[in-house]
Amino acid sequence: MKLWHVRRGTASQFMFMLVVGMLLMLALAAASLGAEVRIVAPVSPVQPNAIAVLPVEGLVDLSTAKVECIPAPTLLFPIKTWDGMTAIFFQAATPGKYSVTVSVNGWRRDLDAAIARIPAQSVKTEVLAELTKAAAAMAAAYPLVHETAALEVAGQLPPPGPVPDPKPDPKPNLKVTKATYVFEKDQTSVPRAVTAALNKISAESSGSIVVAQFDDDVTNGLGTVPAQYKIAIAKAREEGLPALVVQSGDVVTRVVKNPLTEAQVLEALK
Amino acid sequence: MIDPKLIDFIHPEPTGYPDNLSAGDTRDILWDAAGGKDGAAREFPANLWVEPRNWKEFAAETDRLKTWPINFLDRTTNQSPTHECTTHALRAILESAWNRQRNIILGPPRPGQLLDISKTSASVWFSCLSIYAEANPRQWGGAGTRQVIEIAFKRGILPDLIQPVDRKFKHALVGTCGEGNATQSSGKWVPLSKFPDGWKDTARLFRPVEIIFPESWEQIVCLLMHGYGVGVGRKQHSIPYMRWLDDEQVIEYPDSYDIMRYDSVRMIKSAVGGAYAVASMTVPDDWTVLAA
Repeated sequence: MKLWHVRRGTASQFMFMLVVGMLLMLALAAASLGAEVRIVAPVSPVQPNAIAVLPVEGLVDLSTAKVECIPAPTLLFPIKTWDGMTAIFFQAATPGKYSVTVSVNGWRRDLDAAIARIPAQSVKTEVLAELTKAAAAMAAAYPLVHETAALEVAGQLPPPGPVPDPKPDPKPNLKVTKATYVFEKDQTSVPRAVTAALNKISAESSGSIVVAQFDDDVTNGLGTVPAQYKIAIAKAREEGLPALVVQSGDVVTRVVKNPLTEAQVLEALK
Repeated sequence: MIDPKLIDFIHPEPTGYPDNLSAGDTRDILWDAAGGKDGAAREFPANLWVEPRNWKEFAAETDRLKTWPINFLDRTTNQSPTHECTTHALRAILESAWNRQRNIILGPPRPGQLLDISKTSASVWFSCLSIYAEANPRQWGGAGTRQVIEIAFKRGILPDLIQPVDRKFKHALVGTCGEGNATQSSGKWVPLSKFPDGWKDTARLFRPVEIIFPESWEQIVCLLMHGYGVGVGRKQHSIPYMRWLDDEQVIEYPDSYDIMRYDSVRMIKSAVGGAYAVASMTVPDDWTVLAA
């Protein structure tokens, strides 16, 4: 590749050097690639705001890898310890399930985008062709690698400010007869863990606890609110959607706002 | 390991979704058939999107929780040798949606067999013929997806004569003019004019009220991940997609011949155009008293 054939003092030279720089970075990324990439996530849930260190096996350097997490946590960044271990620092305040992904040679994506942005008229055709060919060869030699690991943040955060005195349950011994998950379909979907938990409740109660999940605009065959769910829907809207409404007959015994886990649902019916 | 003969299967005989009907099942036409935005038609909800790089993990969790559409289905059907395929696909999508709303995990079904759990559930089995008889009064030649969606959306579907539990429905209809099985009644052709008097009062209890029309094969997989079965038509046959198998990169479906089959990504991509998912149905005033 005859890099010195680009005319000096032109904008194309800058773009050219940018692309060359990225190719070098790609080569560095290639040096990071070990045999197989594996993120070692904790098996037990971590506490909210606790820092979890997730070792990453198979990589000697995370500086050229992309680290992402769904949903976004409070803190997420790659580190390298004094003894050379590569790892990811993770911290999240909100309980729930998180999915951390490491992408190696993610720079290849950026390189492809950089090449696409080079104005065709500013670089000689043969130079652009050689650059593209070289980038494609390196991309083929060092393919994109993804590794994803899941971890859970457990527990419940204390509410801000003074904790109000809990209101005594007026009828603590009422038998649960209904558990209804009401949501707004344009904003959220039903967590699978909630579906599974409600099914478990129904099965373990031999169907004596009627469970269901639907959008708050649900109707019966006549276009009106189903009679058996008028109370649950009204209460869920009052408390804020999505919500799990637990009843004993027509009496609402508990409302859980936005339950996400099986444990939260099962706890609500104790 | 999946038997390769079950993957991307193409029926040698007509099943009821010929090219002249499938050509008319474009997304725009299906959208209108579902009543448009003011009716039941919905765009794919953004909150259902799952990044493809996360599918493996998401699918594994869905396996553990048993919340695939197939897990909400407790029977298969058999249309042989009729041309009722679009209505058999529709009934699977509707039954799965009904049970998902009711939070009953029953399946996957055992082809042609009655599950013990069905006898104690609130599962309702729908009659394919109750839709097909109106979609194609000539009986042979099949029906388009737009027709069956429009009929179901406008007036609902009748229960099958066979139910897992005797619910004493005021109106019910034979399930199919095909072979049927232990969980689907079979009988002679019943024209629309011969439906039982007052049948609409029962059919309207079982009506889809929200139908999502995906625009890509990835959206189809995302819908499955969240428990929504997806009806599709491809290679002159209509089927209900029910589970994504990430390791094999195929979608599993109960074919309306009492057998489970699979479509590869190549086949799935060809089926996007006329795809639909029933996100919600009407809910009765009382689950224990469903009779009109």
